[in-house]
Amino acid sequence: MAHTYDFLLKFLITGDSGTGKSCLLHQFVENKFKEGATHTIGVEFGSRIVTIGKNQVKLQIVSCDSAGQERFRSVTRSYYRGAAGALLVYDISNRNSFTSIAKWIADARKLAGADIALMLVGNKLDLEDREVSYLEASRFAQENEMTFLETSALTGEGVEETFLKCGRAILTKIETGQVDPERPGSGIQYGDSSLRRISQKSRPARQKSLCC
Amino acid sequence: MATIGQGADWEELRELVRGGIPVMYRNKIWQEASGAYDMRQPGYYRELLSRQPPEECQCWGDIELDLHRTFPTNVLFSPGGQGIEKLKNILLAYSIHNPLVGYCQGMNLLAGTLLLTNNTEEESFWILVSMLGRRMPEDYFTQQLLSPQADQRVLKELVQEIMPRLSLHFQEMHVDLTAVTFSWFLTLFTDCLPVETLLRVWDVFFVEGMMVVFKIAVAILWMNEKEILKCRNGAAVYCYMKQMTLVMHQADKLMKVSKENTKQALPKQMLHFFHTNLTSLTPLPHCF
Repeated sequence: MAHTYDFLLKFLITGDSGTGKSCLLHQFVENKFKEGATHTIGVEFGSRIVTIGKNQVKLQIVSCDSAGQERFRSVTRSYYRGAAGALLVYDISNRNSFTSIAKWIADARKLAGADIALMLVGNKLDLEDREVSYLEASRFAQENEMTFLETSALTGEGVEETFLKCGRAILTKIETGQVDPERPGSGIQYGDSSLRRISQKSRPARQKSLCC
Repeated sequence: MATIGQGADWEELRELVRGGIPVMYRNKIWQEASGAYDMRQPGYYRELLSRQPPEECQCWGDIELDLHRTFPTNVLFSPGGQGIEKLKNILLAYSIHNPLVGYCQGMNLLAGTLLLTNNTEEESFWILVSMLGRRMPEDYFTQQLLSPQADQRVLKELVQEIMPRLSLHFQEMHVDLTAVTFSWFLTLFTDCLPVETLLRVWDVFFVEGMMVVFKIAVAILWMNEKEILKCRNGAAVYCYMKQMTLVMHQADKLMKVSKENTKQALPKQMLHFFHTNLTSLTPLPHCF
């Protein structure tokens, strides 16, 4: 069935105003650039099922569109809770948005927990007036234990890969036992198909116990 | 008209406004009902704008960022459209007029909607001032947005009271209603309702005030309850709720439902909820 999945992973997209957060979401979910849309207040949602390894994974993504303005931070902070991963977005042609990343990392780790999978995303790769070099950002990402990628929400370059990488990082954390999907607020849920597998496994056991 | 607050005439006016204000009277009645006419001081708007160049304004960066993403598909606000300059002036003037509030995202949509309904730049400014000072609580857009956050708690309580099944469904699906409804309150439905329905809601808002926002929010959820209950996971609920408002073309029905289903439940409980919630929300420490 098209709609079954093994895991549901909750992601967050955050970063300064105007870095292209909702465009990244739109490009990933709809596979096209979000043109001429009024920016929304608060948050935007999207979800898509992707294949990562042998698993069908549903990514449920919240983009905190107003997060950039200081006064919205107390509103959007509640979305960190229950997120398994976060994309921290800056604009490669705007140094200030890159400088803010330290603040977004602190918020994410403090509010979602140290285990949250963080991705540093340098967006607007299509622009020519770059202010943040690839080397500088990748070093920064390494120092802060994040995966780093550059994207263009306009052309779609790197977008798919970013979301898939973040999903893969979370699945690895599950496999290695670093995160427990059962913990409330982990941002991970078992999907219909994995539930079915679990219930199939447990059924014979139950029958056995009934016999005894 | 603004001085009339009760009695048979008032009831009649409310009834008429619920039926929709004719386009040719709309901006006049909005100005009158919002209190903008009363507040207006000749020359003040221009004086505000002449105080300092935009770039020196504290809120300039935030305003500039939003100018080109306010109704960008509308001809008035598309690149080169005359609306952008007017929008810039109104938002700058407001931020100078009320430096404590400055500029908050969402105001661009309110001011943009006023410009789209045939108000001049200065008229729009005064309606915005009266909206943000009189029709909405004065602290609505202040630094930590506590007042609209308290409203969200009130709304959740109301939903629990009026639509307990829906409230339980949100809990089971791990859906935070605020994620969808926060912008309804902050932008007065600007970024979610079709324009013809939006203007009808604003007609009533200018006459009746903030209570209308609760009534309409509850009515929207009420009209979509069945469909929301059919959504079997959080993502589906969010997606449905994001698009359900975009197709609410039945303004008459929305008005009718908002009047009827909240008649009993709303006023008394709301005041109680509001006060308990606002006092329980304390400003956050500086780091958050």
